[in-house]
Amino acid sequence: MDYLYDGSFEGFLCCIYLHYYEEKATGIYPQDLYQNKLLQPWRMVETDEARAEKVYEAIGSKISELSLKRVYYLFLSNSEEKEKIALDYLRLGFRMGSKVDSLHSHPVVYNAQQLAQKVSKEAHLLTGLVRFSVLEVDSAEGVKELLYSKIEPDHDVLELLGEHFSDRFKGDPFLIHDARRGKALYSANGQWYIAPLDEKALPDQSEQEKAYRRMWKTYFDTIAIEQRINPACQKRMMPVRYWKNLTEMRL
Amino acid sequence: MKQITETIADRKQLGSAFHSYPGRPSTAGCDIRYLQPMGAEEFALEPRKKYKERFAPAGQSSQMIIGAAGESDRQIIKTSESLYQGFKMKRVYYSAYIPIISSPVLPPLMTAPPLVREHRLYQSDWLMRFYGFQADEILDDENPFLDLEMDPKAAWALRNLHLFPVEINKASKEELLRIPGVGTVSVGRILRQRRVAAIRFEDLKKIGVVLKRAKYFITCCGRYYGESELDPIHLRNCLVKGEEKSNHLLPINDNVQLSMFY
Repeated sequence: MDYLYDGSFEGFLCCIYLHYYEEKATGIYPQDLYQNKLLQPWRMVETDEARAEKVYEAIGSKISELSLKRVYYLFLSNSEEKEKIALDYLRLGFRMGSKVDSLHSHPVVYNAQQLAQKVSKEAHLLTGLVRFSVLEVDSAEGVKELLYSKIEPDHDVLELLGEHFSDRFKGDPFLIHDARRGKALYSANGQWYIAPLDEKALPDQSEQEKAYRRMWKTYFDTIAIEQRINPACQKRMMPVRYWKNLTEMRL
Repeated sequence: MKQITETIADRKQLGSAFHSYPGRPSTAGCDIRYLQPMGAEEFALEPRKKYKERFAPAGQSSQMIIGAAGESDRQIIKTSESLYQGFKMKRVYYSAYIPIISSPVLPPLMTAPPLVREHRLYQSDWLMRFYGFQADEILDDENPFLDLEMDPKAAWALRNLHLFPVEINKASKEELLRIPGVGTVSVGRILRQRRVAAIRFEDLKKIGVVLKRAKYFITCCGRYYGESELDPIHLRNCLVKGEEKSNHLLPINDNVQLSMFY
């Protein structure tokens, strides 16, 4: 039986629930990406909070908290095989218990570990590669400033960035826009949430923004030590695929 | 040993990882006007902390300029070691000297910064901080300079070949940390995995061990996988060749580097 879910983490956990309580899953797919196979029965899974909660608790207590985190990170990745990798990992995990964390070279664990690591690495890289610019928002109390940043991460790491940046910018409202997925992280007063964002609805840049970008670029160029320029190292720390949204690399 | 304890720290921190993501996508759109800056009075509400601030709570660091005066690598890492032990220094940084002014007591203006030497010094620094090495083990009075062609751990292993090969499934943590090509993360994984299952040679790559260096120094389930006997000269050739191939980041020969700029 192929299980289809609505694309949420809870939906995915409900598929795991059905895999154990009803019929074994041959595969788990997000609803909108599923291609019907001949002779392969499939079923749309209703997302049920209580069932998801039950599986969530079970992963934490019967396998380990580390596995729980790993499965969550797997879910955030953009790999097409992420459901398969997570399902294999959980099946092995429920069979072996917390031992599964120690089997680093088991192919199932290895795949899960590598993919989860890619997600957490990207989140970590982006904590350093987000560049904010100032937008001017008209509101009832006059013109307000809003920090805006556009990112295009490979994986869906937006929610992993929330805690870090809300803590840093407690006083300034900001939004981090994931242009690839059309959603954004909104944050003000240390609180944050994620909601869809339409790029056209964005207000204009402030007038000083261009000057500040130029100054940042000048700073970046003049701070470099000529004798120590090392492009290979730079590309390792700051991969080229992020450059188009970096102020200092664009202008 | 930060890397090894990471998973335990992760676990503690995890607590309720899933529930602490309040930002689960909501279907409602957002009104940008909702995001108002915080007023000054709200800042004042935060309670003040009552403890006495320690001096430099994040720890202290130091920096050494490499290649400006004539000191040897041995003197440098001995100094670092005493800073780490005696002063509880957090970090010592090493910076290759870049000539700016001309002076009779300084190297001439055309000298290229000794970047490879700096890199090798950092490697020795890591050996002292995370791998349990003493400065005296890395360099002695007869060889006061680090080998620029080879990392200090491999150089140490070649000088102490009587300690090798090491059996991966039996060796202690300290022994594992001294195998070239095995880092702190790999050691943590080896220790964890061998509690539940024996480690085969094929597993080592997945664990993260750099086999092109490590294979000469280990046995796995009693079998040795290097090509020949443990012979220092032959091993040195194998290790240096392996590094040259992979390491495009560092020009091995300082003369080549000099010609790039002048």
